Amino acid sequence: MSPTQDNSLKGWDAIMRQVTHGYSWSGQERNVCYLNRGDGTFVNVSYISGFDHLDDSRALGLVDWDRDGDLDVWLRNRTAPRLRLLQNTQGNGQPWLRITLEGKTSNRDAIGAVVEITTKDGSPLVKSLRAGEFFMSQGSKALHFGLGQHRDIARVRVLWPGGAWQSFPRLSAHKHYHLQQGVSRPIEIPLPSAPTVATKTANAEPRARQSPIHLPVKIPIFPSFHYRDQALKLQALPPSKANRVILLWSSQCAACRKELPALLKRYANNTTELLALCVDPIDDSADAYALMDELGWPFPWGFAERATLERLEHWQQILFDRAPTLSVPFSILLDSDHNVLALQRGPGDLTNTLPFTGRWFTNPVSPAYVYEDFGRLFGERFPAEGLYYLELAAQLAQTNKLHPELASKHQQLARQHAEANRPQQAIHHFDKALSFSPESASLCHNYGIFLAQHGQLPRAYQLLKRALQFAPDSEATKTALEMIEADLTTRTP
Amino acid sequence: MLGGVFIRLLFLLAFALLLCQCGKKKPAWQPESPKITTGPIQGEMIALRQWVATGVDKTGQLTAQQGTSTEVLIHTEEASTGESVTERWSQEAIQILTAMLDDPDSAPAIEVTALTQTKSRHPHSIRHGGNQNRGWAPSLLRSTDQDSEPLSDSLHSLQRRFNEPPDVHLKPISVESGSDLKTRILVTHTGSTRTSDGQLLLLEIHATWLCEWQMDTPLKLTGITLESYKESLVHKAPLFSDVTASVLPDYQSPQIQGGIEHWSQHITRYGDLFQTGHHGLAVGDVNGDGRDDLYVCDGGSLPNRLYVQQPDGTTRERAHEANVDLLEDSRGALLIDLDNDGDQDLVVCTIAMLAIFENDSTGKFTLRGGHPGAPFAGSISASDPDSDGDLDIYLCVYEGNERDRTQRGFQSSSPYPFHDATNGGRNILLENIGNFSFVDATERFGLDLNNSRWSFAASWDDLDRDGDPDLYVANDFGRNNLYRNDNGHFTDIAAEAAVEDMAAGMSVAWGDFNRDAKPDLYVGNMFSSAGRRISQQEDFVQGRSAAALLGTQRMARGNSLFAGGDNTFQDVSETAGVTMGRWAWSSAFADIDNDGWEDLLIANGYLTNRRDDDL
Repeated sequence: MSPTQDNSLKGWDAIMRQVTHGYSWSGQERNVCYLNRGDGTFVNVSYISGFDHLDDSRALGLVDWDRDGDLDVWLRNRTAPRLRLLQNTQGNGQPWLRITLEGKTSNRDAIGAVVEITTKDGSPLVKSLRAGEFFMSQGSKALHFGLGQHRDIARVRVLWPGGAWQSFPRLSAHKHYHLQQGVSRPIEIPLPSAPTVATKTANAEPRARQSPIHLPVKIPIFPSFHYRDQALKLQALPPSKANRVILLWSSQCAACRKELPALLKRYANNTTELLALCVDPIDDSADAYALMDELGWPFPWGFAERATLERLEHWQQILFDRAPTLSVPFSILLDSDHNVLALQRGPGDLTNTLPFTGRWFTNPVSPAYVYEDFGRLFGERFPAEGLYYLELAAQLAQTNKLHPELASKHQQLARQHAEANRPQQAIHHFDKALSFSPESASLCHNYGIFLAQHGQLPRAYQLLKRALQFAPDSEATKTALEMIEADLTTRTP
Repeated sequence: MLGGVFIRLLFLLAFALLLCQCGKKKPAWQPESPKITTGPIQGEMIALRQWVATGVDKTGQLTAQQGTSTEVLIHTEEASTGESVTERWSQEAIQILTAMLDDPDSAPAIEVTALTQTKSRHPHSIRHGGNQNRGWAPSLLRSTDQDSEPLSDSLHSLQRRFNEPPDVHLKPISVESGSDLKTRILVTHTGSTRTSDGQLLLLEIHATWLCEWQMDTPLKLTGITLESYKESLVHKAPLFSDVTASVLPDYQSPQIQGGIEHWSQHITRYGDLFQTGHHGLAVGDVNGDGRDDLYVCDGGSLPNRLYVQQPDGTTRERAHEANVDLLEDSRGALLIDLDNDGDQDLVVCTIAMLAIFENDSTGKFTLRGGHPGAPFAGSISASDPDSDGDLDIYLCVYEGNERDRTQRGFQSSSPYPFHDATNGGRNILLENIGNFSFVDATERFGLDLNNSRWSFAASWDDLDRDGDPDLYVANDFGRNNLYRNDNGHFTDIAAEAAVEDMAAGMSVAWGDFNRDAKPDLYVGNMFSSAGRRISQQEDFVQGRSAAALLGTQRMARGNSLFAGGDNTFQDVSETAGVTMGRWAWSSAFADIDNDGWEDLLIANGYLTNRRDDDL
């Protein structure tokens, strides 16, 4: 990768990261409408046409939806409302013509056909029929011609797909004709007696609310999830027999103060276990104790550890393409194996379901894939915990493809621990690395040297011997072995 | 920006088997019954921002706290994180002008000069034309009064054009700094006005101001040249009326009222919901009742919808009954007659494959199969390039799959080189071989030439009127393709036809805007005022090759209009005045006022998120 390419990637990633965290990017833009003046120039009439909605619009479907002789517009948006039908109020005033086509030797939809209208006093009007245009859009197969001042139609010609021209005589304005390939007589299609669609404008636009978030694959909570109990003693998540809801709350948050009693009520006659973790600082916790006393809270509760919250923040952010801020109240639903099943931001019943039904025609995502992807993302900030998920993925994958990566990442952690003078942790990670890559000469060598430095000579000797086995020419290993041999000999009489 | 690695397994099993699973075997987490819980809005919760701050800082990467609109220079190769001095001036200039427009008396005693050669001077009288009996007919004015006048007079008369304070929008599109500073600004005024007989009119004014500044602190305005001025007004207004609420039965539902930003925080990436919101629609008559219906694609875990039109123009949502309520992340779709039996079949681009449905003529569909050749295709179009009487399908695939799978969703793509990238996806032509089966015929048709770009859109038209359709493909980050069809064999003639349009292609429209019977082309691109400013600035220019520089500057120009000639096209974008489509997606020809001339509709806007500070 060239330096410029590297820079380019960095810049791109920086933008992506900003957007992931909620920045807009060319947002709040009004849709644009240009009116053709017929002299080669256009004028911006976005506002006076009523087309200038602020939506992040994507697709645009042109159709005379209400069949009143002008083009209406369906808009597909990224922002809410996700759909808009913009009804054209031009109406039947200016002359127009609507043509549908039917192929015989050509494809029946007549996609690709070109229709040319010659008026007695004007320049030709030409349109062709398409399936799919603009951006992810398909409009009506009825071709709509505005005729302007030229209401007298001299001739209509169709170039059918395949190359045959066919002329149709005597069509008049304000009508819908169906033209069939090889049939000289146009069929006139009756129009609805009155234009349809009553206009009802919505009142205040409703918003989508917070709803429980069910994970498509259950994901274990990270093993370093810790909290302080009421006596401020550090605790890991205790084992549970049933599902457990963990609620994060603050005594300073009105919604939390309501949610705590609601939770009690909701799970009163339920096997679900509850754990309420307060996010208030421990040195400012009088309000929290007072609230729990007042509620007579019967379940375990305590204070969330800061390190745990940092991890939880990241944990719930990387699940989503638009990373949400961690806010309280926030609850997670775990099964008895400490797998997270669902999340809820804000108050509400976690066991409620998503609002939509529908069908998948493909297989669901595999846990191995999720753990691998999730592990990498989590590992970007919390390398050790990231490895936990990668190892789960490796176990499920039943192949060794992740092993080299696991070995190298464990070795990297081992080295960091070694440098920080935490030999126990270093050994833990060296052992892990070795389990994934037992035949790596450099790993055996590095681990051996590390052990030798910490006085574990016999084990160091074994490892260096093993290193030599896989890299018989390594001078460094040979030298180290000689030194250890010498040392061992002097010690053993 | 689409997910590079699709996570739903491609299934190549017998489709019969899968059909049995539809509706029966559901993933465990799938909802059983529709139920919407209510919760508080974000404001009632306490955001624990201190963690966000520390946490993100620790990564040593750009944080959510850093960065304003000027700090991250987008559309550049480096997306430099340093703040540009020129950009700061540009912002200060906007602030001064905004204050001046609010209070014209505060304007400095200088003259406004109007460029005579553009004949676009400041108007002093309302002239309204248009025949009220002929529907919506706006009048378009340009004044020819005088060459220059005092700035405060000019601003006052601008204000007087409206009966109440108009909405004013300023967008800086270029900054030049030498001994002086010059900023070019698009100035838009929208609002209402009254005629002398009290009739209410809607009015919009679009002008380009070239402002000259003396570089003091604060900046001192020394001159304004009015480079262009156009105003339009209309009696009966507006033309378009939003009737969505009366037409959609589920208008109040979270699926319509929840934007993609909402859903991308509520459906995980493993449910295939991504931020970009690239989901399309297809209009067609699914039940043969003569009324067009609407099929709408949506993100992963959100079902696609089928709105069937009723006689009164309202709709019923029938995706479930019609077997097309797919939860797979879906992009483009087409309603087309694949087997020439007179009904509209359905093809949908999903994250896994192209799903192919047969219509039983009543609007009920059966999944007949899929083609896995283009997972996560975006735009889809159909035509009959081999003239054998059935419809073949062309699929645009945006990104290639070279990047490792550590990054997914929004972060997964990365074009290079930015102005002329060829590391995109491979588009495919699927030949219809009957019975709802398709084969990849891309290479045989000659369409694998120049086929590794970041293709966003494609559209067919018979350019040479030889009876077979030709194909234009709009590519992001570089050149587009024009494939001429000679009896089923394609040649890329984009360069010789002068329609490479090296920019951020996102949309293709064919139409005859000048009524010379020759097809013209309108290509949706990116009009970025930031990109325009920055790519002209000295610190950006330094160290870049001329080609890269021109390419990058061209990237931000905006939409392109090409007038078709005999063998080649002419770029008339600037003279026609149609480049400013903002961040344009669908950019369409449509004769909205039935005057026989193709107007332009542009659906735009990239990502509006909760944070106001735009990149």
